[in-house]
Amino acid sequence: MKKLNTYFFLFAAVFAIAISFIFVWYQSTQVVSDELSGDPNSRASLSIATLSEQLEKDPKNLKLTIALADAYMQKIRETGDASLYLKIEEALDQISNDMDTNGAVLAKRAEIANGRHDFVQALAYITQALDKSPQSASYHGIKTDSEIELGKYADAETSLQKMVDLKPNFGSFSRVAYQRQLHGDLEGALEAWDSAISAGSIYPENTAWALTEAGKLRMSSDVEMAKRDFTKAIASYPAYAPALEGLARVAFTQGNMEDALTYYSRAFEALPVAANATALGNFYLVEGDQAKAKQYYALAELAYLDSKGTNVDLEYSVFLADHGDASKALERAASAYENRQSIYTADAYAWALHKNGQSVKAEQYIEEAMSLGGHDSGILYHAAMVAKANGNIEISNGYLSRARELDEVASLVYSQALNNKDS
Amino acid sequence: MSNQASYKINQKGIALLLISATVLGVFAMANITQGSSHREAPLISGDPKADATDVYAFVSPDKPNTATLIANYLPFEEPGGGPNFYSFDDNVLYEIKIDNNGDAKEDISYQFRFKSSLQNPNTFLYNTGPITSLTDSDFNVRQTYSVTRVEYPSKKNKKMKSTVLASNVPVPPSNVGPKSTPDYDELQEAAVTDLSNGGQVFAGQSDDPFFVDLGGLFDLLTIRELPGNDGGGVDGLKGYNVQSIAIQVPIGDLTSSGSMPASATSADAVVGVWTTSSRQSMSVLRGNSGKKSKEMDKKWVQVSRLGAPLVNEVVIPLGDKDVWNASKPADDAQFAEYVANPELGTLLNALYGIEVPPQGAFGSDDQRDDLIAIFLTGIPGLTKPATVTPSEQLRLNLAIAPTANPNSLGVVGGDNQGYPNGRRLADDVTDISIKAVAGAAYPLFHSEFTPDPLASQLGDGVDENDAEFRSSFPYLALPWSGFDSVPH
Repeated sequence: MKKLNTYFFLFAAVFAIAISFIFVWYQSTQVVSDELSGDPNSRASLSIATLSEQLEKDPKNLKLTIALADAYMQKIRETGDASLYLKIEEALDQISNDMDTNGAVLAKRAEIANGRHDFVQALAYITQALDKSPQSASYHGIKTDSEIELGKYADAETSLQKMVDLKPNFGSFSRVAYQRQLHGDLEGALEAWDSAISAGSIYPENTAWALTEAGKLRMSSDVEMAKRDFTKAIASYPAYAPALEGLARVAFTQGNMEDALTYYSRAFEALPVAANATALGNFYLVEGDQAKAKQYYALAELAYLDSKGTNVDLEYSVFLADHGDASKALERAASAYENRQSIYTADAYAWALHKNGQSVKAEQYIEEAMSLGGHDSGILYHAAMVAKANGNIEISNGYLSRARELDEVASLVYSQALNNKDS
Repeated sequence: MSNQASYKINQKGIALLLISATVLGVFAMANITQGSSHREAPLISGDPKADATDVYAFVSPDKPNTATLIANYLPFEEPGGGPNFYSFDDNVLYEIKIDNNGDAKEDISYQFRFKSSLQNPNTFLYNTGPITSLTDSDFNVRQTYSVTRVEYPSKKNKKMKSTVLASNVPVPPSNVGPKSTPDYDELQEAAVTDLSNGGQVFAGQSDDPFFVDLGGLFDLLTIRELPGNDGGGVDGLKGYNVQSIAIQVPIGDLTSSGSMPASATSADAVVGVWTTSSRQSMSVLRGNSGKKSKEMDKKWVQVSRLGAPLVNEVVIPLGDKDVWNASKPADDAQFAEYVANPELGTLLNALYGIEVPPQGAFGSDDQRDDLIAIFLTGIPGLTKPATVTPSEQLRLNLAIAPTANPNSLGVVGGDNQGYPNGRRLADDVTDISIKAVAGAAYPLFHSEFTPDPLASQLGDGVDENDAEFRSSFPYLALPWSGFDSVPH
């Protein structure tokens, strides 16, 4: 009890420093703010303003509501602000009384469910929507996204084939790229990324995203080309966080640690999300700055704990296994795996088991995580550690070198960060 | 979601986290959020480079033995849209199609294929200095294209005939600004290219010639200053550019007879025009792991279709847009209902109390046969082919000579050379369409009907383009410069 009191005292002490933070934090999260973050002049922001105004006059207008939902979806991409899903639901609820069975409304609800990582619910919604409009390309895209995350890879391939056959465009090409990547066809993935980039989008952020994904793939074969992709991404969407993170990787790989730090920091400032805080923390750990690393991990954890209705079991469990409480990691991972059996939930479960001293039990789950062939450097690293713990040194080394081949920087940063932490 | 509740954070945990985190300062923490995974691909990217905005077809005013066909793509180009500015997509097949016998199938297609190149592989900058000619080495990101005329099999010719009319034709740069593109009009002029069939071609950026109160039209058909025939609207496309494909060909190249029609009532006088864009599909997984989908690899898929104006935007409902864009005119019976019994007519009546003509289901006595004529079969004596399969096309009577005094209200304004007889750049198609839906042309089919007096005055209050059209091919106004223009 005494100890608890000390913590309360500490809490009070930091309160003064943190008061402004909490104020702003509450404004931007607890209450869904009308002041949107991100670029107020972006196309998505402008559309939200215009459409909201029009909807006030005509709140039951389906076309306007769907267009507003689309604009918010884009805004969420740009800001990472998951609380905006509430805004979309608010608009959908306005028309929903007589529109509960409308395909477009169901599809939006499915999209929101996907965004909140409730893929089971998303699949239910989108299946209903597709019953009504079997020829809608984007509905097949939403279904693809649910199926991928639920580990239904064959179904996801079928759904995406329908999408790309109906509408070969940015949205379907980029999904093809991702599926090819999952199955280890990197050359094919790059071909699809290039088609996506050539097609482009009405939103510059989309093109920047595709350039960045392509750049990350190219890192293993052509660092200069990758660098150009990242630079181009930032030229079309200024301060694009994932591309800044890409440039950090380039700097890291070229041994320029000062630049790497600058880019990791800028990525985090541009988009202060858990993943970017963790990446920066990892970098500090590699550089041996444990104190700084801890601060960023703390920030990442704050973000995971306030996930605004998004299920983050998967992401948080890996984070906890790496940097936090191993037993909590296992709870979260078990919950994620129970919810959906994808290669990533299997990986998280295996990794958490391993961190809890159950490396033998981890074996079957890491095998499941490798079932598409093992083409993800993160999974490969975990597989290597599990194999090592179980005495399979040769296999472990094989996995490690494959991980490095695929994504040298991520593997290096990740492994070194974990090594430094353990040392 | 249910498992969220079981992970309540205790105050001790929060306190510790705050102690660790506040050191970093207030700013960074204020916005930290879990954020969305960047694995997620967007769904609403659209397909701007393959998105057809408008089609124009008219007998060339300065060369009446030729017709000019224009298809515009890539809507809402902000003139200052660096760093890549605007281009066509190398992976898209752009086509302008012609049905010259009324059977709803293309008889002739002009196909445009683009190819991009980078002059200096070390930079992706659009230009590395002022662009003073189309071959200037500072003109870094370039496109060229080929034009192919395809003649589909007919009674006369059993075989498909494909003729390359021009290749390696340069696309002029986007209008970047006075430093990068100092003599912009000369660059555009240099890009107008002669064709082997005696015609001319141009592909490149231009001012969007469409003028419309977009905000009003899509905001529940708000007419800002009723009835809308005297300004007061806001041109939603003011200051925006598009990518234009324009081709001028001898009229005989378009007709079923292969020559200039003898008169406006000749069987070969009317042609239908529309544009399509197509992309190739791909197998999701390549090689052995690819399933049945293999046969879809590289298959061309039509992703956009446009003939008469406002059909896609106003007539086709939300859920049918994908189907519409992939459809062929021959299958247009599926959309006839939306024309025969238009939502817009109901709206005009509900919002403004206009006494619109009776309207009802396709095939019923109340079907709007005036609109069916305008949008699906052509107007008898003007744009209706001798035999016709109903389909949505922009129909043009090639034997009606250009008038010296065009009226932007076209047929509704007593000028038979304008929309819906083809479409000229200056035709006020929004006003014409609203008036038509309100019943302005209904008496042509039902002489007993007297239109509401307001019908002939309705409009969106935007009556002309924001830039002046040129007097010779490609007629389009030059694009707004990225340097000195701010759209909206």
